[in-house]
Amino acid sequence: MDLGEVMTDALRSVALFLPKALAFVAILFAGWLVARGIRMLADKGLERVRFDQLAARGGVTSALARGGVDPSDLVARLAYYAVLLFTLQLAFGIWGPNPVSDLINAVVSWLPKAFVAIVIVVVAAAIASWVKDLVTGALGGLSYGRFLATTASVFIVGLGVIAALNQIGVATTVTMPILIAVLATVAGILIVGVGGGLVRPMQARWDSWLDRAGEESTRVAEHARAYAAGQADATQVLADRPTGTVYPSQRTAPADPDLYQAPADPDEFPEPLVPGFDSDQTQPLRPAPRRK
Amino acid sequence: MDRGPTSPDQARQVLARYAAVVGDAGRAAAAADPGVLAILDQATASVGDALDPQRQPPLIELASYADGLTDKATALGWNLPDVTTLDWRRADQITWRLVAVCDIAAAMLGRDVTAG
Repeated sequence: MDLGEVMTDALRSVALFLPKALAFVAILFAGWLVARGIRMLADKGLERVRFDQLAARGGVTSALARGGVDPSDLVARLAYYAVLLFTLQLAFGIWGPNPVSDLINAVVSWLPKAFVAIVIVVVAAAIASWVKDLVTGALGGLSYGRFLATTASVFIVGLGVIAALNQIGVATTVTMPILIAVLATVAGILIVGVGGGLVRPMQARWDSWLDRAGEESTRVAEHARAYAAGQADATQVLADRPTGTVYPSQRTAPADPDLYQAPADPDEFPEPLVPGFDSDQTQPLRPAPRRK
Repeated sequence: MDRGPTSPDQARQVLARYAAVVGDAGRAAAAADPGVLAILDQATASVGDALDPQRQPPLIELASYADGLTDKATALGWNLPDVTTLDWRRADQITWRLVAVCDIAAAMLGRDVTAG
């Protein structure tokens, strides 16, 4: 191996390395420029669409104000760092597989989860503040109305935070049992307190419902029985009438003082017609033809 | 079959309708003529037997009985006679039973059912 060969190798390495390094720096610089631009655009755009006022209704602003950030600023910064991350991912990709690339890839793939978690917290905070307004409005007159409203909103925010933590994969083994324990406790309190207190009133209510249903069914049965009795009577009475009997309203001619048209042949009556009453109480009166 | 009258108020309305159509005229005729009154008594006994003879029938039963009687009789060709020109001594049994129902109801209510 002579010196010239060594020099050629070194020069070749440098020649191979230099373009990569240049590309790396160029990509980083371009990405940084793009990230700054996006940060400015996002900040201005979000302020233009009054994102701050929207977020303020959810109560997130007051939480962020302690950090000296407003929501649009925060979102803009998030976008800035996201673009920077993508730039780094791209830039380190030039060097082929390496530990830094792996780390950045992991962070980038985790970003959507973080975004969803932030959305969950914001939405939960908004819901909590609405619920607080609602409960305060409905029960504000009561001494414990304000306490109830705060409890409800804290509970909802807590649920949102736990859900967000689960989303980003933080301490699922810790948060899930806590969530379950809290929910079980609330359910137990509801069952014993509300259910136990309602046992007697519900009993009384059931009694009155059943009584009413019983009365109703008795009446329906009475009606059915009486209706059937009426039908049976009508059948019996009309079966006993002389054939050929025509009632006044069935006549085509003007009403006649005679209620019954005498049959042409008296012999067609199935049984003798006696004016007056029958000994059979169910058919006390047999219509008789007029006798002149 | 329909559910029919299931409350005393409904039953009273049904009976008031029968009273207006046939009951009041028949009871007036019975009050004026002892012979006609006897016929009404017979019809009243028949109605009482058809329902539960052991007790006074409630208004709901009376109304339902009248409905069943009229429905079936109409199906068999009977029609309500014109009560203004009717000779009550020769009125048919269906008509008399309707009058009897109204009479029992009026006695129960202690007043004219049409007023209720």
